[in-house]
Amino acid sequence: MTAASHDRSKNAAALSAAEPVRLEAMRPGEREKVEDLLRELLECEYRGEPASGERLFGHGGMSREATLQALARGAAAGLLENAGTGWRLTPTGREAAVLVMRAHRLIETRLARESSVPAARWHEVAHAAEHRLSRDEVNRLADALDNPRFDPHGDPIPTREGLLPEAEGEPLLAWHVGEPGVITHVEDEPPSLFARLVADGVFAGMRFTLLESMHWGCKLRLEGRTQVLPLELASLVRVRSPLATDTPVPAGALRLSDLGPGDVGRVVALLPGCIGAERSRMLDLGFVPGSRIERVFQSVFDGPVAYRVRGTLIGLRRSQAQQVLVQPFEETTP
Amino acid sequence: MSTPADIVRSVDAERWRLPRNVHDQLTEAIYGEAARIAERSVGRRGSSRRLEWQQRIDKLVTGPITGLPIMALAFATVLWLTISGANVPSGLLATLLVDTLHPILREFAHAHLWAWLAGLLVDGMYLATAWVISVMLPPMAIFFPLFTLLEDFGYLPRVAFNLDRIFQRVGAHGKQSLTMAMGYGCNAAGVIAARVIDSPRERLIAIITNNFAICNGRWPTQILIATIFLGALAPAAFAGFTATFAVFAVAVVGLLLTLASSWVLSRTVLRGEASTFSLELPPYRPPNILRTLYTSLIDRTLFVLWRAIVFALPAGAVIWLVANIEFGDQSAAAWIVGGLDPVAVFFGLNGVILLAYIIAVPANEIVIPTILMLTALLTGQSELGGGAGVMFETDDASVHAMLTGAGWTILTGVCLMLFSLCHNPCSTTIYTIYKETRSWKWTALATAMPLAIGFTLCAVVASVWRAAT
Repeated sequence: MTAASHDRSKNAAALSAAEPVRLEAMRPGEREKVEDLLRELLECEYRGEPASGERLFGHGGMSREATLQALARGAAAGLLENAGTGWRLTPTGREAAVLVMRAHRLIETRLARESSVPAARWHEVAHAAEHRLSRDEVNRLADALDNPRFDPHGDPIPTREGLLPEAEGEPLLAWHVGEPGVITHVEDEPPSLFARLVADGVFAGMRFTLLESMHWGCKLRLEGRTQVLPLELASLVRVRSPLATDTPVPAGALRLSDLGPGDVGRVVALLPGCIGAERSRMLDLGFVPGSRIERVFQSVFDGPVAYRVRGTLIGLRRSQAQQVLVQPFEETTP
Repeated sequence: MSTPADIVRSVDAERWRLPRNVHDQLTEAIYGEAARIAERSVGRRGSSRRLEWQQRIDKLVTGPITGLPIMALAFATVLWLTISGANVPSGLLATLLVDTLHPILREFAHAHLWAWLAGLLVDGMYLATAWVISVMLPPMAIFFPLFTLLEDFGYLPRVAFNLDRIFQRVGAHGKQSLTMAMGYGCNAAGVIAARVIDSPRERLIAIITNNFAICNGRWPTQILIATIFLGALAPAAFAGFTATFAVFAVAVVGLLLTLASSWVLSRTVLRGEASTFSLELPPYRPPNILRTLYTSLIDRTLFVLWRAIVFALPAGAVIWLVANIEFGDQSAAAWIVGGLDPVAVFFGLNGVILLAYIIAVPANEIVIPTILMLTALLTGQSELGGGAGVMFETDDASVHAMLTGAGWTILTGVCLMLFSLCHNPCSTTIYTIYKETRSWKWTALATAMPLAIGFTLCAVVASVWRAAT
């Protein structure tokens, strides 16, 4: 951001409103609304979609009136401008938007890794906190998390310099039947639908093969399990082709939770849904690729199941056992 | 020729091209390699027979039909052993400390000190402490080692495993059952034990609801009242069984309250999904009985007993003072009890019980001695003891006669048992909760919630009872 462009946008702002209010000087409620709009504009820019008024109205539960007012305020502050067909960010606006996006995705990453806040509430919590962090605080948060590249939804986190990779992936609904792919992004809005995806165990980074595409949804083979996604859920998922570094799911692999009583398997992988402290704990307990694993017994009321791993009995809930991919094998008793 | 800027730019581009889970892959590779090295170099002795009987026990202990009954049975057995086993040593200690030593000390003190100081020291502080020791030491010396044996044997993790589903349903964690088990010994210990729960939300639930596990200081109240009011209803041969059953029922009410309040907490102030559960189920091993006895006596019994004594000394002084300082024509105790009575009766209790609970905030152990002493004093039955403010040990029958003489009914007994189950935690536990949570808000909630539930429960029972009779 050069001094010259800053001056230009300031001048523009001075022309369009009698008294331009800078973003930092806005009232907290106002600032949040403007920043939300900036975020949405950045999202449009990133995906290469036009940001018409129609697209922005109703975003984040704002009324038409509130949206228009926020647009006017943002324009007055020199953060955004009307480009005829739609709205676009000025360089100052883009900088502010990138900071908010970076804060949001970092907070979500932290929630996923270090807290027990359920996935369905990550967005809500991050959204409330993202407007309150200064640039320094955001950078410190990034350092504390070892500068992660992607948030738990699979979205890239802008770097300190504001860099983002090219947008990738396409909608799951546009995928070809029979073709393998990898989930790159799981949209977290609206939260109620996202919560259903989380409950179904659909996370960014999972490998799948599209089995069938129906007019009301689609059927996938998702990391060793067949899953049906209705249209409203499938449309929140974006996917890409596997890269050279993505190993395919071995034939016959199952989720640990689907292993029958007394069955034996070998751990293939811990799935991406198992993150942070939980992941380290599972690794500590011996759920590492190659470990022999045996389902031993089940507690009452369909509660946790005890598995034997490396000579120890470990009780796991079904939701956790779902996060382990295993390759069952026949054991010849000596 | 590439400049540093070029290098940075190309690194930035490469950064996004690495596999997304590159960190996970690295960690997994390290873990996997460690496991391979261990497998190659660590030999295992064949222990298939051991494994076989371990599995047989597990099948019974965690089985869908046998699991829960075995758990209830184990718990009831520990209770029964504690209740019936503590009687004899409790009697012996009381004979020694109260019947034999107290008169000697009393005579000695009155011969050498002012009457009020002798009264305060011997009839107040000494007697309260003697009571606490004779009432608390035997049950603790039985209860803690028994629980440590179960823990050592490897049974307690199976309990958490069995109950996890129920706790998950109410938004809590299966390991909460372990903190409850500790709470049956001492709530402060139970609150500290909640550290085994990783998720802060579920840990808070375990801390706030721990008070519903009847602690050692409250068992004597439960046992005494159950024996003299409910046990007496049954034929003599079944009295012990009836009393045990009544105490067991109160403990079950405590479990239900734990679940209900966890459910409410996890849907209101501590909203969120039940998080993960991974629990190691260690192999069963024969417990080392001598070591268990030693550690549970030193670490738990003496620790808790010492704490009780430290609190009993000043509380004994307070009891003696309220009973002996007079305002106008009656003692301070009589004024307070008279003032509390109308409120207390609404809850099926009486003023003496409420005053006893206020004095007993530092330690629940002294509730029963305080109640007995105040009742004797206020009903003019002081010839049972040895003068104003003297606490005494009498047999069950005369305690029953004295309490009914003071207007107690079965309703009072039942309400006292319920109130003893849910009222504010003792001051040590409150302080421990603050130390563990570092929050006055949660400490206040943990203190006020059981009290509110206790009053509500007693009021409901009292009004239903009165409507029915």
